[in-house]
Amino acid sequence: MKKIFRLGDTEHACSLLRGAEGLILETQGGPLLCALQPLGAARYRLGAGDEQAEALIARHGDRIWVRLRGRTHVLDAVDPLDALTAAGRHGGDGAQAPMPGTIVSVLVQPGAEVKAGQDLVVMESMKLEVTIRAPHDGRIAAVHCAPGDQVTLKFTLVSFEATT
Amino acid sequence: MTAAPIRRLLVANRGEIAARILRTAKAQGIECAVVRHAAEDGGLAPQLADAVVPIEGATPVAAYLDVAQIVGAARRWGADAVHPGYGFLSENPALARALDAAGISFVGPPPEVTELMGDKISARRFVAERGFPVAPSAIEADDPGSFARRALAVGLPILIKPAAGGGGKGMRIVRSAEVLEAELAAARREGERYFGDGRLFVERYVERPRHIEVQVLGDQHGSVVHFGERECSVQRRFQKIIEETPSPALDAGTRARICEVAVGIARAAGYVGAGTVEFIFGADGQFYFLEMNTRLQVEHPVTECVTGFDLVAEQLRVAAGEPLGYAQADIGFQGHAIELRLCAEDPAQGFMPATGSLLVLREPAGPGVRVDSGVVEGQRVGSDFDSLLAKLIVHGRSRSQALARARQALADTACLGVATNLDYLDRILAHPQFAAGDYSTAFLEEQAAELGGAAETPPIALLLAAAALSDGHMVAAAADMPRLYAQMGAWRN
Amino acid sequence: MRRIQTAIDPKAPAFRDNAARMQAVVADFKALQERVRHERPQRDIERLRRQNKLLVRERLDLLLDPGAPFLELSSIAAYDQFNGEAPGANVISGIGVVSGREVMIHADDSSNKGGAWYPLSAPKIVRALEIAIENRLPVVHLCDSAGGYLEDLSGVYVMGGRVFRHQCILSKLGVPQVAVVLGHCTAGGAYVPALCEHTIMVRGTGAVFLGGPPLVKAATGEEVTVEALGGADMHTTVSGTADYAVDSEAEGIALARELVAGFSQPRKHFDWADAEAPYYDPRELYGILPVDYKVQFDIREVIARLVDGSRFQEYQPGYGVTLVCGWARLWGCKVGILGNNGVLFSDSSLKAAHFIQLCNQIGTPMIFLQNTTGYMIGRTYEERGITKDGAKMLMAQAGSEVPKFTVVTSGAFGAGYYGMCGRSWDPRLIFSWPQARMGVMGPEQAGNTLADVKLRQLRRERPDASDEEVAELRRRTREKSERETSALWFSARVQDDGVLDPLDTRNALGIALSCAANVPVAQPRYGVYRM
Repeated sequence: MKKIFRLGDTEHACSLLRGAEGLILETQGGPLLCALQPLGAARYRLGAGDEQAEALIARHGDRIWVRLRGRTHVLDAVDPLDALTAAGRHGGDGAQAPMPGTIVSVLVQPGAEVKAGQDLVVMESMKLEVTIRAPHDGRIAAVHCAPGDQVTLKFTLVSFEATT
Repeated sequence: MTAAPIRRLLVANRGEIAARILRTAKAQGIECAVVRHAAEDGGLAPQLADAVVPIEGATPVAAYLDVAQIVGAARRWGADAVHPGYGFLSENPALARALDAAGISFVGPPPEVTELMGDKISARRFVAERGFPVAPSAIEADDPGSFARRALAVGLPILIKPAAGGGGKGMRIVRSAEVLEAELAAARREGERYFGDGRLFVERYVERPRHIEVQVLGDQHGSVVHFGERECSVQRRFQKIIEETPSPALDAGTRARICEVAVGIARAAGYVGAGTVEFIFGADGQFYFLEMNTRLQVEHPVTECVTGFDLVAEQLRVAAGEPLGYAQADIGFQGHAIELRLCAEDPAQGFMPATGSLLVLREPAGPGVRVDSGVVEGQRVGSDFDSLLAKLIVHGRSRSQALARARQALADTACLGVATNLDYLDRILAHPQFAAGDYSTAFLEEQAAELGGAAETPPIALLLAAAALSDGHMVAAAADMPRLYAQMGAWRN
Repeated sequence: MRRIQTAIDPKAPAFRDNAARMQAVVADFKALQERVRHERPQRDIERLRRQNKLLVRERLDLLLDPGAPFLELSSIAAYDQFNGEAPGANVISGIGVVSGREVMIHADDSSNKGGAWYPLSAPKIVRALEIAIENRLPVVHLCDSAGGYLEDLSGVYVMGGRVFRHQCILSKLGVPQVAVVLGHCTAGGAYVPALCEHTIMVRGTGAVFLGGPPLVKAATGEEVTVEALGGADMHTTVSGTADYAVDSEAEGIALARELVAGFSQPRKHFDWADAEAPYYDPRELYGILPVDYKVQFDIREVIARLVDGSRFQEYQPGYGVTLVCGWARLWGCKVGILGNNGVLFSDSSLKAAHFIQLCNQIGTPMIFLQNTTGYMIGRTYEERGITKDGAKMLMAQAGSEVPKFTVVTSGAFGAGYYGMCGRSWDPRLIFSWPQARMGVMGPEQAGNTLADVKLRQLRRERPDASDEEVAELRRRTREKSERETSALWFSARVQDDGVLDPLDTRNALGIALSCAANVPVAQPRYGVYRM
């Protein structure tokens, strides 16, 4: 199965395969024989190529948290099909929350034509009100939040119709 | 002011400080309750308390700031005392007065002292009038028309502060006269927004200053002692991140003088309970009164480590009317302690508060390691409250031993599911300037690039393996490959 | 199971000379295969790039599981025909692994003549689908063909229809197919996606219609665009002829992978154990195999370099010794092996008939290693019943139900090719080694026989033909028979499933066995043996 793992600003396309000696991770840097042995309570013995380490691993949705050698790392898994679907669309994206917070008001409805820069949603975070504006001209496909909602970072507040 | 032992204590706070207070109070056989808003995932404190008293409000924060709610909760549950912790209503004299009216003790100083110290302008005037050192300053309210001119007369650079401020909010440094008016206007707007009070004052800005504070304690019978100083210069935008005691910057003489000044100010103010006198300490060895915090400080545990005192226990004794029962000479200092604040904020996103579920939480242990945590594994961390999750406190015979223990404690800590400053803390500790004790409040900003960890290269192979192998679908799909083909590999004819 | 004891000396000069010659033959074949696979007119490649299309092998790389094998079939089909306009018959077929599932792949190669179906294209696709039917392999079709080869539509017509027939049979058997429409599927070609369980179309480049816009205009006067007539959006929102519209080839292929991942894994039959590499180095095959089919070699030396641990349980080692029979494991799968060690006599034929029945009794697949000039001829042998004994061998094979696989290792002539499960005798897969020769007769006999006929004709028509003319005619006929008995000639005409480097044979057979293991073995039922 192929997956893209996003680490910071870098995307790593990987395939996990069964090989003669165990699981093989095909990465852009070449194949790695890898293993993960659970030690209980989120602890694992991890091996990749000739590297070995103990790690704490937790997953939530498509996000993977790894505590390894005294550092915490966050990876996001992306299905290649989703990446391709997104890459193929013109528009069809949305406006995202720039920070976690609470929705104060929603200023647009589905179907509305908006201009780039038009106010879409007002949210509050850290006692500051932030207005989310349209990233480009387009028609609103859906509104995914309502006043009072708690939203996470990069939550899609409003999505736009695809304009292929 | 009472003179009765406390039997039922309501903790009007949350998070790590509520848990911290509950641990001491319970150990003294006091029955304890903690308040909680229905919308919050309370974490550790509600688990430690004997009872949880619900409070209501449009937002969880509003409930904690609502004097009537807190007093109501205390009465409903039958508390004979309320501990406010820090933040929220801890420095609000209205709570102390309302509780007093209800016949309930307030664990903290009398409202008059809180009022005096709560207003920065009146506080510094009070302190200056009694001959203690304050930085050259100008106060807007004295003569608003000449404020800008008087501000410049203080001598650049200057620091603009809201009169009602605290926690670094609304503070601005001005280095050139041209921008003064604009900065004053901006500070006034911020003061109005944060505190509902646009009054300002300015004081001389000490370049590369250190932030040093002294823990004091007074009883209801006029005794005031100090518990030494704390060095709190590792700050980001005026938010303390790492604190230690003793300060690496003070020699014995200066230490004695600064502590003496702190006790003098507290005594002059008629201080009762635990409080902290904050000073700005310049590179020239001069120090100036900054403000007094009339409550327990976040960083109080380092003081507890080196003195062996339980400051919460002392607060409760004082609130119950007991005399201190010891003199300054009875307070000894052993070794060195460091506190690290573990916060739910993402250094990679400009320290934006982070939310999520604490999927995995591992706390350190071992000789000289103490954890004051407010959270439990599985808990949801929202954006309603302060981002502090837990404090790691280490104690060693020497600073170097404490530092080594601090680094090991960080290595043994894990917090997955919510972005934290854990790795950032370790990079601070690893920085040679911190190791040398040679830092000011500008340290984090000056070393931002290095502390950002850009130079670190993540172990990509291991991380990708962890990501892939912990993905059940990926592993199942790989296992789906017939064994024959797994053995044959990528052969083609 | 005991190991075969080798008798060869890999250090002997004769062995090394032979290895060098054989390696040269293999290298020539690989060079040819490389040209067939990759040599394309530059303007065709540029046209594909302009259309935002990938080359067919780039598509395969996206489709196939990395780290898993791919067995390409009939790789050099049509290489020597149609002026080189249809290398590989403009089609790639092969067995590969997609999302962990073994699948048959049919991919049109539009890098030459727009991927038009030439007269050998349909037979190649039909053969691939036949293999899919026999082995219950899901099929992924990567459709991108300009349509039938206009110069020879009648040569495409009948076999072309069989593609669609086989697709229906697969569906009837419950074996799913996925089509990714990456180009135009016109007329008959439109049925390929339409008959699949799952159909994906790429916007802009993919189109499906019975008649394209020019044909529609000619027939009815209607003017219509490709997109409106048979584009991805029309078919996925209006007609329902296709299921998914995607924006890129990569997205379409990734979606095909996701769909295949949803197919159930078949249960494997036969007797499987842990695989073991051959004890003897398979590279020694080069030194063992003579370039000249007339030179004899011991087929056990070949078996020793194909099977697990070089272990072989030989059956009747002392009887009918020109046919070696026995059991071994190949990639862990228990197999019965029949290998020629010379001409077939009555006793070797009877041994074969008996061994075939033994394999059927216990449901063990059979591998035929062909190297025979046929059944022995002559009065003595006819009197002993060589013909009826050969017939018994054929009857046993016809009654056999276990899967059969054939490798033409060197010479395969006359009825020996049939008795040893040539292409006419339904091997699940049949491969040839590049130096192998096959035919009704050996090239010399065939050449001489033909030359004699032609000479008689020449002398009748022109009694004054010169000696030079006679010699020239003999030379030409010999050359023709040399050429037309070669493995490459056979393979180019889709008379086998491909020419293999001998070193690739173990893996090819392993994949073949794994596929065959998808289907349970039926009970054998034999006809009347002439006793």
